Amino acid sequence: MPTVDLNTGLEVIESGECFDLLATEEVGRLGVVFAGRPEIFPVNYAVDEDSVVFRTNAGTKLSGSIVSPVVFEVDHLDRKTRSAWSVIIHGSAHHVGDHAHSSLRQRVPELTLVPWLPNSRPHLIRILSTSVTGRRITARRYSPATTTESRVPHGLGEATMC
Amino acid sequence: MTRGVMALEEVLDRSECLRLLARRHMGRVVVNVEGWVPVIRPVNYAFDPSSQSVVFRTARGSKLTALLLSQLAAFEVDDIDESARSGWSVIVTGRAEEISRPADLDRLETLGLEAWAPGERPHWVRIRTETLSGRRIQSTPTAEPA
Repeated sequence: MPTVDLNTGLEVIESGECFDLLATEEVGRLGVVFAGRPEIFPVNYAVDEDSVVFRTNAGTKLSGSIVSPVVFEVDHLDRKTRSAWSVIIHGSAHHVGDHAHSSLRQRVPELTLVPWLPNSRPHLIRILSTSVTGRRITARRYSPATTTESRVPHGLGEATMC
Repeated sequence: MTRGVMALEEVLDRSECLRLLARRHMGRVVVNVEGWVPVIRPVNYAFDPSSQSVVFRTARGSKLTALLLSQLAAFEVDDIDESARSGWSVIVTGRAEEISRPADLDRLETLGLEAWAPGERPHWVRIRTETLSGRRIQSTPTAEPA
């Protein structure tokens, strides 16, 4: 029985499925605030257990040890079926040093995390999540008899896919 | 023999960024929230050529609407072919404003912004392309290993 977000009328995606969906895409968008200004970057990412990892260049705003808080968003649209989903992670971005998280560094070659540009992006960044939420739009119409209700907030909200 | 990939990165000029903005219909808006996590949401948008703005609709009384109208916003749109490891992205940063002039609203109704999600969204919000940046990555297979 699908759960519906009462604020938006959208289907709620449970956290386990959120990670399954994250694993089906390769490019997400990182939202951060620097000096009071919101910034957004598309990044080529991979899912590692319950975190998202990506690479960045030396000297970028993200190459510091920790950037917090951050948001990370991945979505997928199917225009044929007019369906879409979005998963949003809230958390903090951590620079994975050469000696830290050695088990993660050992796993990186197995992840589909190959930088698109050569000889670049040596810094490995990991997003540790404090919340993971997902919403889905389908052509289906829900009725109270076939749904449960939720008011858990999600980044995907009132303006979404309007 | 293992084939390599040669990737080129190109910085896009303003006119190319505007052209690409007009080709897509879904982007993501980020708003900073003082002392809290930034808010990010995917939105269906249209490009309004006459004001060189990204426009989209929001719900009455929504948190996003309030945030948008009080804070700076960043907006991102891209078109990425993951299998070809190629694509482009354009990022707009600027102050968001509600559109209320009847002449503007009449024009926006002709832009063909489709509603996918349920619910009324009476507010039209505009982010002007005050700051605009874009880049394109094009990957080409090569005979030599990377």
